[in-house]
Amino acid sequence: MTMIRVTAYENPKSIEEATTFLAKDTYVPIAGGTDVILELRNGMPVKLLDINNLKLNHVTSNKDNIEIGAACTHTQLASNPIVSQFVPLVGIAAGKVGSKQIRNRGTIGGNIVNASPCADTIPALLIYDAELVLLSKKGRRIARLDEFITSPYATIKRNDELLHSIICKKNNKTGYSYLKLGRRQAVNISRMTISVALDIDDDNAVIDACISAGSVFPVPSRMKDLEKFLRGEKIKPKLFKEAGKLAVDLMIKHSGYRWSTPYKEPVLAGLIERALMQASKGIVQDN
Amino acid sequence: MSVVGKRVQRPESITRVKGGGLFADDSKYHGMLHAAVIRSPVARGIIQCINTESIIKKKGIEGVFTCKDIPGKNVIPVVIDDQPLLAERYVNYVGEPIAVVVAKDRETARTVAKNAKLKIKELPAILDILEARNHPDIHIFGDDNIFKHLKIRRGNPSSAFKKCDIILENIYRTPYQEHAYIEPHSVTAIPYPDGTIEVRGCMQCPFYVREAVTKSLNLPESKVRVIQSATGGAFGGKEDVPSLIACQAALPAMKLGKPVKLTYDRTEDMIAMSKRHPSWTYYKSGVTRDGILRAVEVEYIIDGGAYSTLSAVVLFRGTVHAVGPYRCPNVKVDSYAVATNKVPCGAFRGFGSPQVLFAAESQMDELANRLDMDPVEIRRRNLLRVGDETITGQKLKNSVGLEKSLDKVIQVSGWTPGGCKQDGVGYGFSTIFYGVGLGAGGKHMARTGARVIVHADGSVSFSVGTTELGQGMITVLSQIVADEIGVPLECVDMIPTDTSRVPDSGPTVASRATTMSGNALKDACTKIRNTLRSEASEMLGCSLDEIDFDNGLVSNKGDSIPLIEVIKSCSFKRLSLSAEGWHTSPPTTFDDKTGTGDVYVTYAWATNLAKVKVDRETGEINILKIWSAHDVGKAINPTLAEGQIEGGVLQGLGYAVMEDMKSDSRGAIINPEFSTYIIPTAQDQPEIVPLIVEEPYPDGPFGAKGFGEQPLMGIAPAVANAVFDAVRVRIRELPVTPEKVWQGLRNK
Ligand SMILES: Cc1cc2nc3c(=O)[nH]c(=O)nc-3n(C[C@H](O)[C@H](O)[C@H](O)COP(=O)(O)OP(=O)(O)OC[C@H]3O[C@@H](n4cnc5c(N)ncnc54)[C@H](O)[C@@H]3O)c2cc1C
Repeated sequence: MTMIRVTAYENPKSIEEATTFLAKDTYVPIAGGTDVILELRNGMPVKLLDINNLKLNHVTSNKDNIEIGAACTHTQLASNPIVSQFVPLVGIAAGKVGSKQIRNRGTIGGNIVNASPCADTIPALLIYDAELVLLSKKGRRIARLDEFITSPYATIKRNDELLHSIICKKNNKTGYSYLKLGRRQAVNISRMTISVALDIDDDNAVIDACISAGSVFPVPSRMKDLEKFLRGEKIKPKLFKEAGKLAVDLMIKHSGYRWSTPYKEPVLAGLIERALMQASKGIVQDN
Repeated sequence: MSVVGKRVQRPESITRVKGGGLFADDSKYHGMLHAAVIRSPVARGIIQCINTESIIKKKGIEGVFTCKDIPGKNVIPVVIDDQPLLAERYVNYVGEPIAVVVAKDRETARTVAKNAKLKIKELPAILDILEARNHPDIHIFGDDNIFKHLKIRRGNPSSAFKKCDIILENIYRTPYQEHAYIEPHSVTAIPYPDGTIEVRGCMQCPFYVREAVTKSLNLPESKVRVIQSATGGAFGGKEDVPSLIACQAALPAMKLGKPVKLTYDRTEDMIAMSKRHPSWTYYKSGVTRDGILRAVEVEYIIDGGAYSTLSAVVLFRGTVHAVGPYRCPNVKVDSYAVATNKVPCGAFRGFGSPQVLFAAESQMDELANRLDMDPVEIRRRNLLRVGDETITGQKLKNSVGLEKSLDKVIQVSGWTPGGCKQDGVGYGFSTIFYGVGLGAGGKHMARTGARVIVHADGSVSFSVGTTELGQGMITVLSQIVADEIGVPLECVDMIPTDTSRVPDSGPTVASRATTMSGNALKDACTKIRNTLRSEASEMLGCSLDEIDFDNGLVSNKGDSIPLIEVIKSCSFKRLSLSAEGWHTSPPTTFDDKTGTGDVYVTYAWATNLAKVKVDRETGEINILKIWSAHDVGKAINPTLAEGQIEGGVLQGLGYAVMEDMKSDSRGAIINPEFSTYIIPTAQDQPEIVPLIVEEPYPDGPFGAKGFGEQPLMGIAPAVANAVFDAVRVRIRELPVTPEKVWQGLRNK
């Protein structure tokens, strides 16, 4: 049964104002609220800090990086030309979140800070070695996304910190692929997502491979061993099949084989193989 | 200008899309209190103590009511009177209502109800139907836990099987299905100084609610008035349960002398309200090499949950539909509705037939496959035509559009046997039928009333006892009234369904509203027409039978006057232009010993074709397209009929491939939320091709038969058959999930 107890609500207009509140008291930042509101249903009293008026919905580009404001909505990112040019997997992943209504409200910052194992944008951001800009009264610090989440729903962010933006490295690759496995076409909590970026030379050898998975490990992560395995290899179907098998070994190693069904394991192998195949052909795939 | 058969728009659609409409939870009354229900946390147990004194002392609490406070019978009348309004000594499922708490505000009522301390001694429970049937020690119902056993005996199956060339025996299983109506249950009871109790809420069957409230509160029927509020979907889920909820609000309203509202939230609704019965079916069928079905033997068991509710009649429909729409001279059906310590199941679109049709239609495909015959050919060789007998020995006299529906699907889809297709793509058929109306299972209720009033300004109001649930009944009935009186559709309005306006008209179930209320309205309109006719004959100076009503005019040969002038003249002379109409169904029969009889007044028929693509790697099933043709007798409003097909198909697809309600070791539902109980979204709707066939039913208004349920009924087997066609994996347990298909692919 729903019982939401909001004991205070602040709506700061500047970052300075916001971080002052956060330094003073325990506030829960609220962006789109699509995760927060659900948590509030447990009835715990809470003080909310609205971060929607801090002008954190920018997407900018410089020579090496793309900066995405934490309050950018998924809808915004799914149709942003800078995103689709330089970090296409982020745009595709954002376009796959929930439903139109959820994408209109839900933000990338909220997706990251909520730190769910099945957050859709995190695996895509990992491909671009994303870093997070955290602000507080004590100053600014940068955290690597792959170190930010410590376990499901837990991060290294302090209560007095605000997520300001996400910085992605431009990495021009020859091909991308994003696959999402779920139960239906919309409002589809991921059962598995695979993000792949491949760089292939003229001799059809892998120069670089970036691969990450969501809903596979307790925390979305890159599959570095798999990437290493692929680097320098000549592309042939058998290679991708082997990569699939290796992915399964990694998964078992990391998650201690806690699958409820024997289903996910070979499906992971199959999806990795498929995603690599698509990326090797340069296809940006969204299922 | 006649409007029957035209694609007129539902008057309320635009309002609904904008979020308008006064729904049950929207209304407030002066001094209104809020109720919440204390429920059993255990599957089976003896109530030792409910500490009402400590509850009543809590801040904001106005009262707490247990079975001891009920002035009348502590029972929710449905078929067998076994379900208490509030538990007495025993509780029999997790979520069973024990007491009602009333507070000034909803949050207080809910919090107190949730945290109420109960002393219940837990007893061993049974959750599985096969275990529960004839359980030696645990008795939930009677001494065998069987609510109802039905049988059909036709010909001599055991000797017929000996002559069959191919015999298949399989077990099929189906899970719960949640109605997922957009509006959870809500009701408000308002006491009046004269002792009348008015009940307003979302519901399908106001007369059921009235009966329950009068019985439990010990009031005469004249003192209970039930009014349906705008209802946000029902699908059977608001058939019997609103009676329970209405009594939970009416009891405190009467005791406290104040309006009491009771609204369930989604989770509570999903935990404690009725669902589609899970089922287990043993199916044996035999054919000779020519593809003719010679014998069928079925054992069909449905999981009724802790109380009988509608299980006996749900079982009845399933039993009669057990063989599908085919001729079969040798049939043995034994069906059982079994009690378990789980939430009571009830009515749901199709009413016990989708489960058994999943078995019957999967089996038909398996037979075709073994015969190396295509799935259309085997159906064509067996399907029912005019002059044939159903398995209950009912001779079909007219209105059998089954083969037409099959032809239409084949023509429109361009399907050919062995047609070439991509890897992983498959096609699956189902042909089904639906006994229209309550049939012999509920024949004592097969009557309905209506009232029509033509006002002096030419506007028309009508009342019926059936309800609008989103299916478009108001529109369809308004079309009938407009044509029968001869006024434009805009002049016709329906008064919200209210038990004080028409006599007990039975429930709005079994796809009966159009035929039953339509016929009753025709009856009332005819009476009014007669008055208008005699007045017009005076005005035009001609005899009665020379008068024509058309296009807002009343005419005699070249001579005509506007209808409105005739209406005004009647009003001026103080002639009554108001009439009550009545309709009773033609008789139906069913012999309990042999399972023979003319069970339903008529049948509606349908063919579905599903096109799917299966991903061999992940087992994912992508529904590409559905063709769905239905013989509805007459589509009074083709757009609404097509809407029924589209909605029913999507709900059927949920049943086929997604919806998977699970319960834990105490029988409690573990996914009572839409984040975990997955239903299709608008994005999941494949291309649906709705097709209408019209084989008129002579006793229906304008030839119409019932419609509404059957679009859902044949979708699951069509999809399972398509999956088989795609990757040769046969799934006999719904839903057809990627995991099961994937497992099937690995096991090959
Ligand atoms: C029906 C439904 C479907 C969904 N489907 C998906 C899906 O398919 N894929 C998916 O990944 N997610 C899904 N979600 C989850 C959710 O929508 C996303 O995680 C979304 O991105 C959260 O963003 P938000 O702005 O709504 O976050 P909020 O709910 O506002 O916040 C989430 C968390 O982040 C914190 N936070 C937010 N912004 C900041 C900030 N700038 N600085 C510091 N802390 C901050 C909040 O305090 C809170 O802890 C779904 C949710 C719902 C309700």
